[in-house]
Amino acid sequence: MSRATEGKRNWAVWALLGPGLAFIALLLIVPVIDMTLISFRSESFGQILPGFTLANYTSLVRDGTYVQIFLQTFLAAALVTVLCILLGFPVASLIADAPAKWRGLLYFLVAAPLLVNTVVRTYGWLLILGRKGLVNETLAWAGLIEQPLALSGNYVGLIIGGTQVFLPFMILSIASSLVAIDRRLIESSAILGAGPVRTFINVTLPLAMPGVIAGSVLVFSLMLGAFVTPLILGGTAVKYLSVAIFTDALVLFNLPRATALAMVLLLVALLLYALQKRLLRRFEYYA
Amino acid sequence: MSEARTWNSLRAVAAAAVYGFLIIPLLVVVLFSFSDKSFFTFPPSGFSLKWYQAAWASERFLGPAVRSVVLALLSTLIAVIISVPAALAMRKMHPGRLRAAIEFLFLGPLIVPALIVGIALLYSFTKVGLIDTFPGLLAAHALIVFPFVFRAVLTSVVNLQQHLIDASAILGAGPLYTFRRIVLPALVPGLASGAIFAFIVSLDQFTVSLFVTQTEQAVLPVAIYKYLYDVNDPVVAAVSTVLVVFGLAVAVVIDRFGWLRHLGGTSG
Amino acid sequence: MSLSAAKSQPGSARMDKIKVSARNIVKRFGATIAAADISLDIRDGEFLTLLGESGCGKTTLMRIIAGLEAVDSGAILIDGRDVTALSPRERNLGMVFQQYSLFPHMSVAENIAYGLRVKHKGEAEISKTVDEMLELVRLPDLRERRPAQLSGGQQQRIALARALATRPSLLMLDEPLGALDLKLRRQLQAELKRIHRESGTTFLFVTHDQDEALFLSDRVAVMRAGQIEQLDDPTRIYCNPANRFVADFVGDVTLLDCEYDAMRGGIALEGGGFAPMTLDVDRRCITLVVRPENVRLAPAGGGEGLACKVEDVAYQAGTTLCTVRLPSGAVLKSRGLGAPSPDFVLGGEALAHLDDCRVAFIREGPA
Repeated sequence: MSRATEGKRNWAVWALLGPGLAFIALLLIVPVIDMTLISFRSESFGQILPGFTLANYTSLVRDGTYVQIFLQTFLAAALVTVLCILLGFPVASLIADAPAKWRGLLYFLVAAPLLVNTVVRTYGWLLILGRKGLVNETLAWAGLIEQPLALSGNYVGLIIGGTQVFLPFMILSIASSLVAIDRRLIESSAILGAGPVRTFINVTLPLAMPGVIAGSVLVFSLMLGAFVTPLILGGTAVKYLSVAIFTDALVLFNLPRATALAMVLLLVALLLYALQKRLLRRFEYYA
Repeated sequence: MSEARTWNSLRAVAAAAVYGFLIIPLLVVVLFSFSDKSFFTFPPSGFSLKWYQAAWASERFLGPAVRSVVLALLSTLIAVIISVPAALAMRKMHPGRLRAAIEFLFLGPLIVPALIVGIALLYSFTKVGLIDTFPGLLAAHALIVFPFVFRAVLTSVVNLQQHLIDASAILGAGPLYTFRRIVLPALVPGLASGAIFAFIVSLDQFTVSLFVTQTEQAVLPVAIYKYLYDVNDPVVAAVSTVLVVFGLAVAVVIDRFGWLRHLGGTSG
Repeated sequence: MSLSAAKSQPGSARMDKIKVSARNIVKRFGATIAAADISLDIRDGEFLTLLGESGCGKTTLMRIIAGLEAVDSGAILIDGRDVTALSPRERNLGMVFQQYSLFPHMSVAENIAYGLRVKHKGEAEISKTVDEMLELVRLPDLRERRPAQLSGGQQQRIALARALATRPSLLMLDEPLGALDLKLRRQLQAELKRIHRESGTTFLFVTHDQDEALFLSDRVAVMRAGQIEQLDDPTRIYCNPANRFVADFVGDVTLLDCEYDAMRGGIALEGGGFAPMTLDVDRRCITLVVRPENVRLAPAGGGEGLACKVEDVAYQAGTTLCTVRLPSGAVLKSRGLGAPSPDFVLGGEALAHLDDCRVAFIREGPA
């Protein structure tokens, strides 16, 4: 190709990219840079003061409350991820082994809840786990409890709700890996003398790892940044990163501290994204 | 063989329990919306449609519902208009760092947690007076749904066969004619699935909406949350039931196209 | 395993023993019958091939023997023991699939060792067997490679090594060469024959490629619609087909409808023409099996023979295949050594002689 047409082509490429790049720059890059700058400013009564300070960050480390928030948030995300793997694997495996005529329905039942509004799904859990919710009412009716159990407005509700909201992603991710496994590998293992448990551990599980990892990173990041579920089900009792950012920004109007917290979340999210790419590369057997 | 059968039965029982776990919050919401009491009872008693009447009569849901739908339509449209040229440009670029970086930027609104987008836009919009305005809300939603459309269109663009375009050119078609008759039809499936997901994501978007609006521009999820916070009676269940039915109906439709299982990358 | 000790020769004492016996196997998938009362004995140490088109039930029969598919009725015996109710892992078999089916996340050595590890063999023994197997398939340097780093032919050899490592009673091969290109396939066919000989294992091979079946096997079972049409050694399958189907399926053939005239000592073709020959049939209406090597062409005008018209002349590396048409419309093929003769040109006349046709089937019609 001649230099002239090459140049013309480049020009066309940038013209096509222009609107998209401007859109992202204006609405994502500039605001995130602004946010980063604010996290280094101080404030007084909702007013952002000029000058540069690291106080917003140092206080995150020094202040025990924030350390606790980080720990609880990470723990919740990890717990939800593990629960999603444990609950998701049997379903994904059932889907992968199901005959074609059933597979569609099984997929549908997993994916359909994703299309229902997250606020609505979380509200459903409030009805189930609340003080006068389904679980407590049923147990009281059966005479098993005197006092209602505290299932919402705390860590328990947050974990249960978060697991249900993000579980479909894990199932879809693991199922896509399992469906891709050649049945003959499983059969080969059986013919070579391995029982179902051994075949699962030595063949199925390693080959499902790309799906498990992709699903885990996705669920972990989604739960880490989750806002609706902690807000509605965790209540004020649970110290959650997203809720703390919200409270600092919109209730206490301390934008510098809210943005400093947000920066931590952003860095972790980007780190996870990079980590996922690297991890998945390790499991590319067919490369 | 019996060992395998035991294993399979165990798995079926576990899977059935998990399916129950996935479906039960939706069932409870629907059941509660027909309750004749304003609090939850077990076993359920009575049947009434009064919460639906109350929801319809209430000023708090209809406006936000209409706003949500208009917002979802317009933000999807904007995302489509920006995505198509961007995806086509990616096809013309050589694979490499620059291409990867631009792709990363375009997927940025999906990689960055919605909460971060919300708080970043909160400050930026306050500066330029876009907070609690429809244009501001629209810009925020267009940003959030953009990666969904872009990703879907990019898949179609990457799968576009160069030899079809070459054949069209050899047969004497100009670039515009080729675009209209060859390229665009090839992009339609990706565009359609991306647009439907974008629409759903916009309707579902609570976090960013909460950050960039106050009272004037409430969208439906935010209206539901605020009502829950203020009143918390089965009116919420009635409105929610409508959304459950709507969600499942959309699920049935996109399942027909076989797109449902590709939902794996949606934000929560 | 001593690789040289267990050589098997057709007719040896070992071959009189039955290794695997399938008895009255019936298997349906909905309306399709995959096995309609099949009985088959596989002799110890032999190379037996199930030959047939896709859907004839050959793969199903193999999977039933493997225990991957349950039978509707019938029994499978291995070494005289009824294994019908046993799972695949309890049958001590080996299997090689067309798609190689190596575990992609394990090295070559780990793949080969898999069945031995499952059987809790000692590490020293495992390592020794892995080396032996790699030696057997002549890929000793690939121990630590991943399957994805190997060529198709190499992967298939490793799959063979993995299947043989556990010293199975029977090695099953399901179209193992189907994914390879022609040249590599020929090469691996020879390899398979050698490995069969050196390992002394009983082989059950499934293919739709008749050349492959005839080349490799001690015996071939030609299958159709869930039944075995003929079970015989390759020469008899080719030279003495049991019925029209086998005759038509194996090799290049023309089935010629004609009348046998025992008095004149020859056959009279429909639409004219007479070819002298002696056949051992007692009916007039017969179908004659004519192979290309049975047809000899002579230049036109040279006395007797079947008048025909040359339709195609094709040189096939060492032999020439001529296609001619008889006045009745029947097409004959003639294979001769060497390059095409200038006597036969497209559209030209020729005389066909039918030499040494020995097989004919009775067909419906007046006696």
